[in-house]
Amino acid sequence: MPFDVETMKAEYEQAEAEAHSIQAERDDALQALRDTYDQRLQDAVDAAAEKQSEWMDAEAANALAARVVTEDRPLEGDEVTQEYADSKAAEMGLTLPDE
Amino acid sequence: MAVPKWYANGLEHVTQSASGGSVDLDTDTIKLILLTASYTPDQALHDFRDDLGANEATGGSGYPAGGFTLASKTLAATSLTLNWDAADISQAITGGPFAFRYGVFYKSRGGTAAADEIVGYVDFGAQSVTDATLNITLTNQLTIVAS
Repeated sequence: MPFDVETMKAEYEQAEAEAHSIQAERDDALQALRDTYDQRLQDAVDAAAEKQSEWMDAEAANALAARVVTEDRPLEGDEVTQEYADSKAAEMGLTLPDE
Repeated sequence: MAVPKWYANGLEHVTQSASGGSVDLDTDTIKLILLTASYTPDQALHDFRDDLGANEATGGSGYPAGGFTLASKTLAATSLTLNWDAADISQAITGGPFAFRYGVFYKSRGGTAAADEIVGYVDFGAQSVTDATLNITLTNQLTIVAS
């Protein structure tokens, strides 16, 4: 008795159609999620990166300014002159805080 | 920049993202944490940020603890290569020395290190910055090549 390949083929096609249907439903749901979140998340991450950079620039500028010695005496440790601080700040694109 | 390498688990985190939602390289919060030479990368076993140990670089002012947040991330295929790109990092470091050797890309979730998936790392060689701008080029930092 030969196999009933026509029936088997029909069963296979029905099973694959079911898989395709669920797959399409899943893909649509994922795409809807991406449409809802991706651009908003990307913009938020970029904004956070910019804020982090501004914060770190301020930290670096404050730390450099704190090392400035204006008195006429030999420098100690990591102390620097105002001239050095101004020069370094300009070189690194930093804005030193007001005194 | 030296050629970055994938962690095996990092590749898995990324390739599962479409179905498992682990790491989405162009939208998630991805950071580059800088580590000292004390860290020893293990491409086969390291999978989360807690595997990096207490090896984060310190010194001077200008480096954010936890690493730099990557901006303007993109994923794009060119010829046979899928490239992951981001804006270059340029950060003033005052004081120092700020010494580091490795950089590790990871997904920042805002919680414990054990929850943050690591993706790949780069060996910059011994680096030290004092009162200078730290520049890191992030052109095609990680790639997948069809061959």
